[in-house]
Amino acid sequence: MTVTFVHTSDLQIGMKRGFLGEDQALFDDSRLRAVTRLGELAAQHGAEFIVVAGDVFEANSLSRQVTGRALDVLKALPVPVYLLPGNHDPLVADSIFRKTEGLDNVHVLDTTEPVAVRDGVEIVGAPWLTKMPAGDLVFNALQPLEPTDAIRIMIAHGQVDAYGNDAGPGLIDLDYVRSRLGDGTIDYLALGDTHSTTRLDERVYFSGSPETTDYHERTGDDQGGESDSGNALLVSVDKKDIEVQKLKVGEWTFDALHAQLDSREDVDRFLARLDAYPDKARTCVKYALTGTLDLTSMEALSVGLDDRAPVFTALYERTRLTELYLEPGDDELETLTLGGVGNAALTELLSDVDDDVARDAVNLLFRLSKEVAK
Amino acid sequence: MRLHALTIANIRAIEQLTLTELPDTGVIVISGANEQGKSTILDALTALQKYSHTSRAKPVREMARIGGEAPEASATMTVGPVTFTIEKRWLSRPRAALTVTAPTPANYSGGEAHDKLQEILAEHLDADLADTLFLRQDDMGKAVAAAGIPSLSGALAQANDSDGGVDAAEDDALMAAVQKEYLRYFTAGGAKNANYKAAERSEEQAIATVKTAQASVDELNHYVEQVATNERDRDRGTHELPGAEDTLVAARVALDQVQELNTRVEATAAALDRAQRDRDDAQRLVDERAAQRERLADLTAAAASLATDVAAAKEQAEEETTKVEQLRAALRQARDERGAALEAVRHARAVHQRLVDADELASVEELVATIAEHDATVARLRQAQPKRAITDADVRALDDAERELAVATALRDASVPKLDLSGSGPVTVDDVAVDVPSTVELIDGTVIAVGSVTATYRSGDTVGVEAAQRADEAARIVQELLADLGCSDSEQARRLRDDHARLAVELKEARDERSRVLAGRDSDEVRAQRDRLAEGLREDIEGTVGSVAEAKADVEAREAERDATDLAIQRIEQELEPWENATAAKQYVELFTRHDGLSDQIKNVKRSLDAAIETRTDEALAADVEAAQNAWDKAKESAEQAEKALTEADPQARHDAVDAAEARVKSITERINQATVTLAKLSGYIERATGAAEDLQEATAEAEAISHKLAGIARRAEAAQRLRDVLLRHREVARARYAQPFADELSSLARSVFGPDVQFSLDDDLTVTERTVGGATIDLHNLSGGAKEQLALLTRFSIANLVGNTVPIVVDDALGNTDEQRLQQMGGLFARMGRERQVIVLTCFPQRYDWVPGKTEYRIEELKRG
Repeated sequence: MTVTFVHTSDLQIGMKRGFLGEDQALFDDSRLRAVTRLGELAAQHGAEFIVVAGDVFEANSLSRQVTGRALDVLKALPVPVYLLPGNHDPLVADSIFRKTEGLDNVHVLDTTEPVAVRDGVEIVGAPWLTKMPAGDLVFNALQPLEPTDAIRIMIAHGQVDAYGNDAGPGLIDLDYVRSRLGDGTIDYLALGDTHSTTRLDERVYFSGSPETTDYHERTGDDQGGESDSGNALLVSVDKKDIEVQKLKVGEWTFDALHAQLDSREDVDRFLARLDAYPDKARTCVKYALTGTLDLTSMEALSVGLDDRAPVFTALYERTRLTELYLEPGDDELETLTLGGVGNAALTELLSDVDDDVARDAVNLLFRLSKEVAK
Repeated sequence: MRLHALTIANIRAIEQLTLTELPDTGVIVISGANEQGKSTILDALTALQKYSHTSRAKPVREMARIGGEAPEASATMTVGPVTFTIEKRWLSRPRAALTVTAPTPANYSGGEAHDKLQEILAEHLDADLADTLFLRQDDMGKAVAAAGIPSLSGALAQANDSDGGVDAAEDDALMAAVQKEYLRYFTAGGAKNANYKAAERSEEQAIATVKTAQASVDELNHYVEQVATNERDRDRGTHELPGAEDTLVAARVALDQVQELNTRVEATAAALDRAQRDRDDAQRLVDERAAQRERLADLTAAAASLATDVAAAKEQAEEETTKVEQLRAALRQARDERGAALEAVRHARAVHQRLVDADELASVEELVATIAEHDATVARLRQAQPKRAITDADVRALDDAERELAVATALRDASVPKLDLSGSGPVTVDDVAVDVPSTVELIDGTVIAVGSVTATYRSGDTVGVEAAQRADEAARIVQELLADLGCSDSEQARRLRDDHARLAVELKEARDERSRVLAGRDSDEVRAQRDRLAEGLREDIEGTVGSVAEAKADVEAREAERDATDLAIQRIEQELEPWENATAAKQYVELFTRHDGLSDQIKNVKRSLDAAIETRTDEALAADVEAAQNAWDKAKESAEQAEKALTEADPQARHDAVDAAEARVKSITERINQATVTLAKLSGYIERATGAAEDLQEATAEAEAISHKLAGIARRAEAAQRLRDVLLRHREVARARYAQPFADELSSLARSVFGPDVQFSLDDDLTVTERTVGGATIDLHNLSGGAKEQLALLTRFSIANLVGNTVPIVVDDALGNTDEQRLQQMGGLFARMGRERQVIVLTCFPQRYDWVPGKTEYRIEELKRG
């Protein structure tokens, strides 16, 4: 007997991002659409139910508009959905999960008691019942359980201590989990908290957030940040085998770009890279640029960015990480219609390469001198 | 430019003026008193160059003399390479003519002449320079901005170029653009402008909003934590409550057991009481029976003793009775005798009294008769008394009146006329018939009628009348006294007086006699006594014979008999008394009665005892006592056991246990209730705070966006500021370098006036702002008037020197505030300036320019004369 379900987590409904500006509404809408999309995928792949391993909501105390719409979407899912309270939405007094009664197919895992989904299939949750749980919730939930013939799916939220974290309260003892996977007490541990899809073990996964929540740092090989979000996992499991399939769900792209620009070609390549984003209305890009450019290239970059900024949801410089120098060519300086005073000032400013303000002042000088010449 | 000749006609104070053959160089001093038209010369020169002959501009209109001819002027001058003569007439029949003599002669007239002149001037004359070097009185003391003068700028630039410097003004357009950019973020004064500040404020507000939202979230979190705490309290309470309630139930059961023990203690105590009573009752019965027996014995003994006494008493009593009866009989007889004696005494006394009364009655009746006689006498005498007793005084008064009458009558009789009547016939006197004859006394008015004749007497004098009147008066008094005394004459009066006196004496004597007979008694009382006595004697009493003395002796005899009987009775009573008080009979009766009573008592006691024994034998009673004692012993034991059991159960501890258990249940229940209420309240707070986290997120996002925007503004602002600062600094350097020749020239000229170490500060416009001499820097405005006018001239001289010989220096009076020493120094400078150009000075005080060598002088009056 095999059971197939959709494993997701960290919907983070109600999340706000300052850089989204007026597109926040679009982002809000996408988070809800992601839920609907999960339902469609479940139906499409014959999943029996959906488990959400924590952080359904960004916070507990959200507006009635946000929670109302979220519950509507959850209610409308074609298969039952099992929600686990996580660290963002613990089952405390102001929890939204206290308002889910009467939603037929929405089940809140509010205890560690196994719940029978159907004959031979059980779900056991390790819910966050306080904001600061003491101890390993998974361990606490697993300990009293005996091995079973039923297929038992465990849902939990948090980081694991085998992951290089310091052992401490709230961390999940992955070795213990493995032992209980081994003795047949559980057959899969569906984890939430990490927003990027991550495999910890053959039967232990972070599903990642179904819709992007944060920037993906893209610095060469160093793929930091939220590197693989926007997915859900389609899990088919029995006592012997397991198959986990990653399904694309999200629409949004948050990229943090780093580029070395030393020539006009570099500038063009960078701009082309921006142009390559397919859905700019749901794309946020922040960039950190380094290098040295001549006047023409700098202007091309400046104009290129200015032209593209309105198209993206957000496109902006990471000032702190930007070190882009202007070094006009000799021929360029000659073409400048600067008088003696202007020239003297430019020379002084160019000599002060480490000063951001000086660099900005140089750019301003170029722009204004061009405007004056016109 | 050089001025060669100038003519003026009909302009203001000048009707005609001609100035010709002016030297090409040197100082030209034109002097004249005030109002002579020195300034008019300059005005005419200006008008020639500036105003068309057809102009009616205000300065042109102001040139016209009042009621004079149309203003006219002509000048011959060289401007650049062109030498020409310009003539103009304004207002009335205006005209203009330009005659160019070099380099190419040409003639122009009218508008063409003016236009051509403007062309020449524009091409060859720096108008700004000319204006600057044309010092009017008003310009003295004002700083001049040398920077705006093209020919000076050209000269400085040339010097600068040759020196390798840069043109400070070259980037003015860029500078303006930078300034414009700068002003997007800053004010002209360098402070952040409204937009920039607004952006900063927005950020502050956004941060404040975040803070507020964070506070709301913190508050909410606090509530949430409280919910957890209260839920824990409630759940723990709910969990503990059943156990606590069980404990309470158990404690109550334990307490109930104590109650049972208590009941038992009370019951056993009551049983003990009953047993005690039963035991006492049984014992009492035994005791009572013994007492009964004892009493019976006592009674029987007493009865026996008493029977002896009764027999003795009986004998004594009988003896006593006999004696008493004897004495009593004797006493009765004595008393009877005494009764008879008493009656005899009474009768004897009555008889005696009657006899006495009869005697008294006779004497009283005699008295009464005597009194009656006296009374009659008195009454008769009283009756006889006159109503008006005539006294001796009355008689004397009457005698006196009669003597008077006699005197008066005698007098009258002597004096009164008399009419003697004779004849017969009826005669009336005063209507009263009188006998005839008679003598009629006449008085005035006496009417005597005789027949039909009536005669009325008319007395002639009064003597007879007065005598008559006195006689009448005396007669009247006599008559009155007699009438009063009821007498007809005095004799009678005297008689009556004597009768009256005698009657009075008789009455008094009768009365005195009566009083004597009564001897102080009242006559009525005497009569009443008589009546009483008569009444008393009305009844007859037997045996009333004899005398009073016999009767009295009888009374005494009877009283002696009575006293004898009294004595007999007394004696018998004395004898009887002891017997009367003897108690033997009484004692006997008492003893007998007592004995009788004892017999009854003995019978009763015996009957009662017999009945009791019949009911319950002595043995049975003894058995009862023993049984009751046993029962009591048992009850006592039970009571002690119950008491012990109760003490051992420690009721207080069990009460305390129930109280404690109740308190705990109460506390837990209250805790649950309190937590439930608090939870409801918190639920409300939490409900109300719905959306707080989202608000915080939104506020944070908003703050992030605003900070981002502000960072952008700040970055652009800093760039603009930096660029402006750098540009301004470099322009300043360029400018200083550019202005250096001017500063040098000015210092060079000024040295001869202000001393070798003089220095000047120039601003961007090459305007002198400060002067420093010997380390003391003074703002231009604070310089003395003299120094200011000297500096004004020095500045112009410097400009003129730098520009070269192109425009004359014209000074409309100056150095009025300059002292002699400075005049000397300035004079040298004037001369130096005049070496290469015309320096035209107009002045009221030509002596100020005495220190100028080689000058050409004109007096305006002479010029006017032509």
